Amino acid sequence: MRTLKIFSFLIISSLFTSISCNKEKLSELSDVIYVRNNGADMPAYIYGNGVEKVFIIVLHGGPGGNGLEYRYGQYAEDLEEKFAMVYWDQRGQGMAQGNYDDEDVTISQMANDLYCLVLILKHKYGNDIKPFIMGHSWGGTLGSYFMITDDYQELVSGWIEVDGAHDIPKLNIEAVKMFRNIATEQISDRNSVNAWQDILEWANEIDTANISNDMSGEINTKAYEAEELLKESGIVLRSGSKPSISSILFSPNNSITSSISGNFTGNHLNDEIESTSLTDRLQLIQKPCLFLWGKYDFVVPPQLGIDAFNNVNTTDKRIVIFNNSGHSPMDNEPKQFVSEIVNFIETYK
Amino acid sequence: MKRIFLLIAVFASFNASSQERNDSILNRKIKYNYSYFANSFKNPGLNFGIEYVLKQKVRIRNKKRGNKEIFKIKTTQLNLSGNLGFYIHPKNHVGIFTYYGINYRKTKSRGFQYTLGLNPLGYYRSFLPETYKVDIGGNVKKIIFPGNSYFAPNLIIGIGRYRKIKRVKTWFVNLQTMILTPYNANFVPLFNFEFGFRF
Repeated sequence: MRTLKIFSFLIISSLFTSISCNKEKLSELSDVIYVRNNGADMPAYIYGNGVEKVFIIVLHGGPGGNGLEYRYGQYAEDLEEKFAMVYWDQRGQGMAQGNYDDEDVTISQMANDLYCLVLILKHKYGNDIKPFIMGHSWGGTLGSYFMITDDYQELVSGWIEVDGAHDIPKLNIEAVKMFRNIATEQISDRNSVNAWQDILEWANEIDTANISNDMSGEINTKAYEAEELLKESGIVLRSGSKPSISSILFSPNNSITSSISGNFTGNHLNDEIESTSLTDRLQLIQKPCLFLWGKYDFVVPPQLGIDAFNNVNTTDKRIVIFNNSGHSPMDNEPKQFVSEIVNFIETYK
Repeated sequence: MKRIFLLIAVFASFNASSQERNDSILNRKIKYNYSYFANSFKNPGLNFGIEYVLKQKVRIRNKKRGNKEIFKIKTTQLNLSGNLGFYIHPKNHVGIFTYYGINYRKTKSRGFQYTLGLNPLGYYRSFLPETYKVDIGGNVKKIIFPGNSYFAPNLIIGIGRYRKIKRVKTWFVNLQTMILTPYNANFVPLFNFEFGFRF
């Protein structure tokens, strides 16, 4: 009986401090809100400094990732000191839950989910907030789609694309070119010769006019292998940060749920993503744009960033290629990454 | 004469222990349990249950060790069970669940127990924090009691020990897999841990 009393006390007392600790202090935001749209309930975790009313909505990669995996590292700490960061779990990913059909898992539906999120943030924090969208990798696909859909872009102050995969067919062709070029360079520099020779032989056999979905997956896998080789050679800088054990243990994200959910959603979206080619439609974007790309990003080659920069229909734009970065410049070169974002937001907020 | 006294002593001791067991939870038709419940091994909660013995088999074996005669008693039970519980996932949601099914339990001679439970009838309801939706007119509305309901069958594997003392309790540890469906457009398994007492 005493044991039961102790258990009950522990659980009930945790009720008062758990679930949602909404602090209304704008300089130290620590909120969680859910966005309900067409059968999905999607959490958005808001941390950081909301005093200047600048909200950076992070569109995570994958698909199959989650918002909070972008909340570790020096860059996240530095950005949270200046701005409010919104780490959002997209439909069917992270801790997003609900009940809907396969037919509701589309890029268009997810862009509409993002539209609802922006409206909800304005409702909660004021219509005078200045939202910026920051999409990484698959988040770049989603963000680009959002920016070219209807008048969605009117809701935001700017678009930041970080190694964004807004054109998969083009991505695959450029990746194969990169493999061939970089492999040849590395072999002549005598870096990991055997490994690069294997990559070069494999890349030379690819018919870039006929890349199947399976081959696309293989290109994606090889891209990470190639980046790892460059890290071993010191050409791409390794991340100095790792998530702490407490952040893993006490995170609002459940890694098993997130992984399983994300896998299902990624599989549903695969066919649509593989045929998504938005380059020619980026001219619909008229808002300020910042493109941040790693020079050695085999996953989403820098040529996509250059094409996006050339195609958006605005003079308020900038592209930065990080010379010692791969697919994640926020991890490889965090200081410069943060500096570019801060300068961009200070200019256009 | 000595043999008679020995036989009487053995039977008396057997009767004494069985008398204890007769009064014990092992032989009760209805048993209750409560436990600390950890969703995904970290989100705290509580679980309360009740069991009804459908079928019980007691097997007694005697072994001779030198001059001593040792009696080993094994009990197997098939129980109907029902549970109601909840957990809190901080800064995310609260889950409340209930499930019903059967479990098979074996109690060995020293009191160690092994349990296998199958609960095909399960219901789960999540309770979410601040939730909003946007209506057709573009207006933002707050949802009252936001959350989702799922069908939640589960499978339980557990160990425990029945203690031969008069006051309560059998302790147990369970590992549980609960499947939530339809979750998003598919399903998701939850892996949970329980530590509790049966009485």
